[in-house]
Amino acid sequence: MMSTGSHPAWLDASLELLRGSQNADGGWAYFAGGESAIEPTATAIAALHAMDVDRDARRRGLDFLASMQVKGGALKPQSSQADATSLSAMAGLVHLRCSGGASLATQIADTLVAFPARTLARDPSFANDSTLRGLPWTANTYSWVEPTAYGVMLFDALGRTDAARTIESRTLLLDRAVPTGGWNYGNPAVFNTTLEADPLTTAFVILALLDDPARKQITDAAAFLRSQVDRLPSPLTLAWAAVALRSLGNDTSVDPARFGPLLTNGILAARSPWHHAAAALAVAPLDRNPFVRSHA
Amino acid sequence: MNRRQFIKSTGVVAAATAARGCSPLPLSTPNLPGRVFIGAADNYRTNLVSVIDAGLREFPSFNVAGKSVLLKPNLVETSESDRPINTHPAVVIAAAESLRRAGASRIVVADGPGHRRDIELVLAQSGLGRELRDAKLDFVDLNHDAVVPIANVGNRTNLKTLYLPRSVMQADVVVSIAKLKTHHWAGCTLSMKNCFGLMPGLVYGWPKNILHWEGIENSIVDIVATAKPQFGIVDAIVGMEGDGPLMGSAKQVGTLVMGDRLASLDATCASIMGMNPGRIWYINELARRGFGGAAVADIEQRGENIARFKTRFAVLPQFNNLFA
Repeated sequence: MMSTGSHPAWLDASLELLRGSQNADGGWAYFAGGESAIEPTATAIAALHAMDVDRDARRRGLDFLASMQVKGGALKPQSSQADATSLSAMAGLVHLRCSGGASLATQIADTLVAFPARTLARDPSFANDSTLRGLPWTANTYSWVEPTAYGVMLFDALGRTDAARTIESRTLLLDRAVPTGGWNYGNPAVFNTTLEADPLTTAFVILALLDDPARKQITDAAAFLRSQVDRLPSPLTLAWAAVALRSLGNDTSVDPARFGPLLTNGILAARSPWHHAAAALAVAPLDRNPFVRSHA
Repeated sequence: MNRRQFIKSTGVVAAATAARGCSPLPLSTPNLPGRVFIGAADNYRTNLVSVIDAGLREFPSFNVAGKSVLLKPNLVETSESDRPINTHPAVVIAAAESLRRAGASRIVVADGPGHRRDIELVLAQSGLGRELRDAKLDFVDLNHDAVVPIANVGNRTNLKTLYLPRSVMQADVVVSIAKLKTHHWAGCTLSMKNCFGLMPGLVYGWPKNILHWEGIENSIVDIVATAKPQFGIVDAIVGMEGDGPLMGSAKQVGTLVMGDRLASLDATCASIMGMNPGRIWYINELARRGFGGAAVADIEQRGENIARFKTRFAVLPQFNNLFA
């Protein structure tokens, strides 16, 4: 339970919240007192790993992730559900980079690379190419931006950069960019109306497309995020925006001092391991952040 | 028998009868008469508590004394613009205060937005978060709650089981607090379409995409028939017309509409928008399943005269048939 050095008070408080909110099954819930789920657990493990603290808590978290596996493949989101989810990709990425083993991540990727996704005939009023397959949130539905970004991150981390599903997923992400910069959670336009970008989704796509950070969609997205960060009122979205912008270079757009009041005053964030873990990741060393391509 | 026990018992019955190859509930029930209250509220600075208090007095059988109540507003996303996408915070807070006065033992506000996954962001940017804090009201993120499987009583989709958030199952009473809007897939979104937000994103994806593939109208029927919200309040003070539910334009209407049978409530709201409720399939389907009649003759109007608020909403061209 040692920290690596001098932290701002809010970061120490966040790490303490993570220590105090780990459930008996080794996982973390989205909101303290809730059921353990793979996404907050993976985020918490990543934060503790990046800060290089609490090895035992991380190990129990990794065991929880493995316990959510469905039929030797991808993971279900939480114990009370039955079916596997594409959120497994981000959990698999964390397991890969924090456990020292590739077995679970490989099994997740093997499932997700064949994850059934529906496509639609092209419709000019939607702007994007709806015949492309990325990853849907759940099997047999339409592909959405955020799960596709997670999939690309996992596939790349496993060296499957040139696999057909990875290439198609990357193509889908580039195709879905909103003309004004960034990504909406879904399509760039519906019925000929351009939609607004979502900063959280945009941050994840930047992290997925770090193979070529100079491409126009990324520079536009970074500009969009920088235009947003001063008025983002949620620690979760602000944190991922910070991680994404820092991963592109020496970006200091996000003032770390903002996290303290946001975490303290948030309606849900104050008791959310998910938010606190993301905030810790925002200021942790990038080379130990499992979500960043340059991770050692 | 409270709401939680009621849902569970009908779920068990549904599962048992489905296993026998029978329809779990009568598919055709005579339309029950519905009662709808229309209250005047020119703007959000109006004393909305008194409007809702007046409305609740018209529904003496809707008794929340000693019960836990879950208020489900329509939170979708926030925008750079000031488009009226979400239920206005003033309506949510006023409803909570009225129900508190009516004796509710616990009130929580809860939603699972279909678009934005970071609900803290939506709460803060919509202004609802600040109002909830001031009113000392708890909020539950239904997208990321633990879930409980329950037999699908509606049987319109192919889904045999629906997963409802634990917080919904634990509430004695669910109140849908919707926004009066057009909808680019369903024509209009009112108190029953609002119930999409009861369904957890962790199970159904975003924007509850499994339900889209099962058919939005079919899904509305299944969700409402299974989750059984007992009351609805529609924020029609300022609605949205045109390319709703996100990209449309503000439409001043000036009323709050309330009812304890949601098909009757939504039929009334559709009429206010100038639509013919008889043209909206899911309203009529739920009307014949016991959620209140949708025809004028089946609805007892209380409060203000509906004619005062009727105003034709602009819609996308594919929904012009709703006015016939």
